Amino acid sequence: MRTSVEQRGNVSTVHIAGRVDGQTADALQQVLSGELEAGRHELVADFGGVDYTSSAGLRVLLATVKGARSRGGDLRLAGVRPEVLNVLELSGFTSILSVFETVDDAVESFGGQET
Amino acid sequence: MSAPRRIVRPARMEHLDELVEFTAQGGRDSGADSAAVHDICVAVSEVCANVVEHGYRAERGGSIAIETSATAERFVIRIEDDAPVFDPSVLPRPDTESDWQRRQPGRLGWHLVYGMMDEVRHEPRGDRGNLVILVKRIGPGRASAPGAG
Repeated sequence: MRTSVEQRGNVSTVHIAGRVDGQTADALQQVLSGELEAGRHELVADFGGVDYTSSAGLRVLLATVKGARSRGGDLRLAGVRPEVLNVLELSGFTSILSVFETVDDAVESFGGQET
Repeated sequence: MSAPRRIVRPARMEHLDELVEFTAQGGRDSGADSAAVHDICVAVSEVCANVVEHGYRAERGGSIAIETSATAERFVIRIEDDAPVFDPSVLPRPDTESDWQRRQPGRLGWHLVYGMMDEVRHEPRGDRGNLVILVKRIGPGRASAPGAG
């Protein structure tokens, strides 16, 4: 799994590529927690390059959305492949996470405040 | 029918990628489409991660063996370990409906295994050890399979 972080206004987009599972989820958690700890609470997880996510990845998403919302922000997903979306639906995550077709849509959903 | 393929690796998380990729390649070689391969990856990742995290726990020296085989319509994965016997079918359902503040992430792993695969069976291997058999439908009949998306 590879990650990179892009800053657009107040919104941090974490681009994720590869497999999110028991072997890699801790690394993703560190990246997302790092953003929250740095005061960046409006997060987009770009899932466009994610091959699959297991429950380990779902735990990371849940912990991050709780952390972001408790600080007045949010975690929103973008570019999720249909197979991966099926995993989110099966797990009940589409009822608690906002999913957008593109990263641009997800970033703009935060209101587009520029700093 | 394809000849069985087998891999054995130490039950450590660092080998998860290799175990998943071995199984995924078996699926591709057997004609599974990308959606079926995705579902196979999720299920195998979950079963193996559970063996490492909860099966052997702090024990060292355990292993995981995966054998794959296929017919024109079924891709069969057999995952064996020597950890204490654990029957996943007795697990209660996970929480998939609470609001985000109350949502707990536990027990999603086996929930996904059952959701991704068309058949999931567990057999104890004597007093100790588990055999999990996963079946994914492949080929023309796959569209009607549960969990096919």
